[in-house]
Amino acid sequence: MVVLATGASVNLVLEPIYSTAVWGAGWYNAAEAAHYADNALRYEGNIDVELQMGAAGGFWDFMSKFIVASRAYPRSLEISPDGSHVYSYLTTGAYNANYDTHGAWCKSANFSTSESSFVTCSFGVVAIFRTETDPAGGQNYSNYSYIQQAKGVIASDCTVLSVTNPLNPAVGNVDPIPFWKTNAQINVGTYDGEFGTASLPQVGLETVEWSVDVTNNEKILYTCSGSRLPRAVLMGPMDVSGNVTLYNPQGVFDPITGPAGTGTITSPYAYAQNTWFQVAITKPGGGVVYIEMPACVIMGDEYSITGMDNITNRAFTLKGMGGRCSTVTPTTVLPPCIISSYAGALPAAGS
Amino acid sequence: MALGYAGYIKVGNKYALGTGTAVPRARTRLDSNSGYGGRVSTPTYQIGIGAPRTYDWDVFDGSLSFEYTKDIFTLIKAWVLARDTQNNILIAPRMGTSESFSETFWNSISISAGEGAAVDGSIGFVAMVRDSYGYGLQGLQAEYANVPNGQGLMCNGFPDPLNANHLNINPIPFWNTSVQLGSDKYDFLTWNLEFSQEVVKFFACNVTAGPQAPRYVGVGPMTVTLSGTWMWIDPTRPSAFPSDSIATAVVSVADTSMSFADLELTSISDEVQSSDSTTPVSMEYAVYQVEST
Repeated sequence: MVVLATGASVNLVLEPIYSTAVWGAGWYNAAEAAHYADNALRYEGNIDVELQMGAAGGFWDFMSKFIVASRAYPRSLEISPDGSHVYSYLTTGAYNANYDTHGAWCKSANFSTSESSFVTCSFGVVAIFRTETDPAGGQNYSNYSYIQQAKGVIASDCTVLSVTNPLNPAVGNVDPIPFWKTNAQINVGTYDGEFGTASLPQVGLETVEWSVDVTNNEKILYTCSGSRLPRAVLMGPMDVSGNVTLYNPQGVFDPITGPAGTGTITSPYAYAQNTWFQVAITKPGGGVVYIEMPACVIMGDEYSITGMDNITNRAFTLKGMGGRCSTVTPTTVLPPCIISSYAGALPAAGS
Repeated sequence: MALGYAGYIKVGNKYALGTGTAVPRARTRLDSNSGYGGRVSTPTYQIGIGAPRTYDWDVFDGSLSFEYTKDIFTLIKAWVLARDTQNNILIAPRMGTSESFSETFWNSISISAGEGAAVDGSIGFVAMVRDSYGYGLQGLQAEYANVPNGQGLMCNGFPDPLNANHLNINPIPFWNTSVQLGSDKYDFLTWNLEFSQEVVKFFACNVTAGPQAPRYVGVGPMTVTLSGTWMWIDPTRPSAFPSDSIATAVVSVADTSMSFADLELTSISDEVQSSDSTTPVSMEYAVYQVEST
């Protein structure tokens, strides 16, 4: 699956282990380090994409599993920075078949959008192995020189390019997804289950811009195994945060007192048990996909004078919380961020 | 085995918001002082390393660290008063692994509060025996594949998350506590309650097969200290500087409290601080009576 990438910088991290021992140097030849040994290595970086659903929702389904639902498992990844060299981070078998150190893991995902922009996502990835090949396997790189590539690598094959849904087919506006296509709402009330009905705190509330940041806090397990290569990549506790900027002609509600002014600091209007953040995006032809913090606490509130020609929005900083029990049997605890499948449902963990 | 988030702690019948444990199984070695006739070098198997030895009953002295919930604070309060009673402790450091102790007696308890943090503390305990220790044999791959949702406790008895009903009891924040000395409530910046007692095992020489379990357990005198730092913000509250002897004290944590009597000052200091620090008074009282209320 080819994605609409705007940047990819996944690079080798070497970090040699330098000896700090003294070795009888004089002022003329004293160096901070003379001895060193190789450290364990990894490949790490970011891939920036314009968010899309892809053919038959393929990219959306991939994303929902890669970031959250199956974050413990690596996925195959190929990056070609120049159309000739291809760096491959491939799993050793079918997805989910082998839990080893091959493939690429999702370190983080940062969604954001604002006026006149697409929804963008920056994926942080980490991998232990990679191979470098030429795209057609066995051909010389010279075959992919500037002159030879009149039609490019991807675009020369319409079956490959078609998965990116170019030319905005049927005016679906989801390849990529523009800002206005997202319905992002902070909700206060009784949680209606994952991807459930919204419960807006105030009439007339508009979302100007939003972001959701998922950090997987991966732990690379280095052991004294006689090899430079790590033994495992583990997923740590998820850190989820976000921002939402709101506008209301009547003024945006205060998170403590609430829209009716009934809350107090000891009994505030919004707290994690009754607050969640949901981004809903309608699919071409109907149906909805979601990015949701099923429980969140407002940890920052900015309502400032913004200048004469600016709109006075109110910006909330959100912290996604774990601990919300699923309403679907078995009633397991939801992660602090859930991303629906293309079908609009909760993907099974490890699926 | 994976990362720490799969673990949990249970004290009595209550899950705690555990932050760490240290419960080593210590093998008490009984070394002989006799001569052993070893060689200096060759043959190597006769080089004198160590002496004749045997092993005594295993020791399971350990500690738990946690953030206080209302339930755990209530449990601790009762355990302090019934200090010669045992409790059950269950520790699970990872999926598939747990160790349980059914005859544990506390030898230290601490409760601390301070700016910007949850009330936290620890229990030090002496366990007579480890009832069970199951070490999970599943490897990383099996655990990740089979138990993506973890231990499944959150919806089944674990303290309510998400600050349910905005009660601020799981965990209890520092500001939801207070200290009253005599009839006055003081503005404490930090406070710390420490309980300690000796737990002594009595062994008997009445069985000939193998190391023996302790025959009896006794608890020695208890010491209690209440220390902290306070600021005198309102000259009418408290009405006076704390005296060397205080008849009563109440430490409130959320909507539960522990009452004490007969407090005697052991140290107090009122020091110059750095330019951007507050200037609290530090004090420590020895407590000589724990009330049941």
